[in-house]
Amino acid sequence: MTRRIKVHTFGLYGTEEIREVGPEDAENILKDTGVDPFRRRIIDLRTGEEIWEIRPDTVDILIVPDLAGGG
Amino acid sequence: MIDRYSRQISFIEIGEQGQKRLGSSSVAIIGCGGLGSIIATSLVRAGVGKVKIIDRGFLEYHNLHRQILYDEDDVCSHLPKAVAAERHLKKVNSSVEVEGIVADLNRRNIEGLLSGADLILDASDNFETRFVINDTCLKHKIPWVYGGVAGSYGMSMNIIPGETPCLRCVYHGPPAGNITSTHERVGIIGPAPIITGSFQSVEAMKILIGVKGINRDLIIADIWKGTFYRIKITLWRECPSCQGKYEFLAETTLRGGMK
Repeated sequence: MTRRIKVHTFGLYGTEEIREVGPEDAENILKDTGVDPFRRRIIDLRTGEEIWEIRPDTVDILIVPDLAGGG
Repeated sequence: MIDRYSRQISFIEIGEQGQKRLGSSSVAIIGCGGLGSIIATSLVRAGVGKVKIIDRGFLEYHNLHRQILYDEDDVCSHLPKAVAAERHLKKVNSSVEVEGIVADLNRRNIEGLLSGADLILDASDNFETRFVINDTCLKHKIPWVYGGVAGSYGMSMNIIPGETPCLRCVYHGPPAGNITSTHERVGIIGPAPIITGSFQSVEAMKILIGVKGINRDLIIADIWKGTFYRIKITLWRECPSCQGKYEFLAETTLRGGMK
C-alpha cells in the first residue's frame, strides 16, 4: 500500500484544510517551507514538535500559519 | 465590591490572593478589534486594576458581527474604537481604570505608551507592529501574549522574556509585503476572535496572578473544524531579539514599511 502523509494547512479558504500526499511531495513541502523568508514551521502532529525531515513514522504534518489579523 | 468577583474568587486557581493580584495589575491591549474587544471586556470584568487600550481605527458596520464591545450607535457617531471601548468598559466595571488611546503604535511611541504595564496583549492587525511589540517587551522584560485570527481559526502564544521563545523565534521576520488584512481575503466569523481572545485573556490572568507552569506552547484552534493543536516552539539560537539586538526599534528597520 502506498504511504500517504496528511498535510494540515490554514489560510487559503479561512479554515483548516487537510490533503494527503506521498512522502516525496511531503519532503518538497518541507523544503519549500524551510526556505520561505518567513520560515514557517512544519510540525509533526504525532509529537507536536517541529521537524526538518520526513521520517518513516511521520503520518500527519501541520504548516504553522502566519496570522496577521487581530479580528 | 468583593461580591462582584465572588464566583471568580471561588475558582480555586484564582482565590482571594489571585483576585488581589489582578486588582493591582496594569495591562495594555494593542488593537481593539475582534481580539481586543473580547480581551478588554474579559479583563475589565475580571477586575484587572488598569486597562489601557490603544487603537488607531474608527468603527464601521462590517466590524459589528465580531467586535463585541461596540454597537450601531458607535458606528453612527463615527467614534474611534479606543474611545467607544473606554466608554462601554467604564459602564461595565467602574472600579477599573480604563484608558482608551487613539494612536498608531510604532517604534517611536511604543515605549512611552506601554510604560508601566505589567503585561501586553497583542490584538493588532499586522506583523510589523507585533515585531515592534516583541522587541519592546524583550528590552523591558514585559511579558506579552501574541494573538492572531483569520477565517475560523486563531492562534495564541505567551512570550515571557528570558524564559520562553519569542515571536522572532517563531517567525524570523514579517512576511514579504506584510499581510495587513487577511479578513478581506478569507473573511472571518465572530466566534474565531472570541475563542482566540479568550485563550489570550486566560493566559493574561494566569501570568498576572503568577501561576506556575504557564502554557509555553503555540496554540492553534479552528472553531469551524473543531480542531485544536498545541505546538512546541523551540528557541531560535540566532534570534537577534533574544540576544538583545532590537532591530525593530532601530531607526533603520529591516523593512521599508516600518514607521
